[in-house]
Amino acid sequence: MTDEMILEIPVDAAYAVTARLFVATAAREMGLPDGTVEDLRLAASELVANAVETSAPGPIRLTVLREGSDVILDVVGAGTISDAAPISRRALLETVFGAANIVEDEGTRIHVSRRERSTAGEA
Amino acid sequence: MSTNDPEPDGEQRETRTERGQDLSIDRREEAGRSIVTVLGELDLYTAPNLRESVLEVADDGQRQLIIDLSGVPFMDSSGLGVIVACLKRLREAGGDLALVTRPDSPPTKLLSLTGLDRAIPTFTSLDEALADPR
Repeated sequence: MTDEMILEIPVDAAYAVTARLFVATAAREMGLPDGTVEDLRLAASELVANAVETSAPGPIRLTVLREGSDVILDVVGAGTISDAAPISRRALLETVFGAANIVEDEGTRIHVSRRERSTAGEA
Repeated sequence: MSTNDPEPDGEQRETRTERGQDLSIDRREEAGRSIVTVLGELDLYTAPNLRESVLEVADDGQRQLIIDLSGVPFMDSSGLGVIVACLKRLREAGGDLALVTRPDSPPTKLLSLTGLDRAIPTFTSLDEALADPR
């Protein structure tokens, strides 16, 4: 199995579908359960949309990597996650992944576990 | 995915497929309501098509709208933004919005996570949505 998969795309909404497909494929490859794969698909889409809406210079680099029993989605070049109404992207991602699992520094890193977890919406 | 329209005969409808990624939006009128059926993934790229269609419904003076998302395998906050804008517009005009989503589908989960399923009547089938007396 691969330990790291990388995709680089321009800041363009038309590439959101490519980013989702890449992240879902990589996440599945790394053994993540279906619910977590879906969550990461959402994260990829949100971060590409965020880059477009905040006019990030790009390119956007998405990396899916394995770290022990965790998998990390690392997205560089998508800008600071927006909190704007009507749907706060930040609040949404924090609800899905837990605020502690999202680290913003040079980019956005989202940690997920390879263990099965319950993500049914109790927000 | 585009072959599963059982109805309608003699109903007014229009089908559009615009831009690169596949999104098909079909509008028809039934029992005094507009039904907008969406097929395809809803993201920042495709959501503007839906926005245009639903705002057109409001512009036509139709106040009761059902958006059928059972053919939407993926939706992000861009799609939700359109739904919220549409809800606001219809309610300001004294109308209302209902949604149809498949149970356990990504749109259902997203609506639940954001609490929008408590603000917007959400049904698991179009028949159920049409049977709701409002």
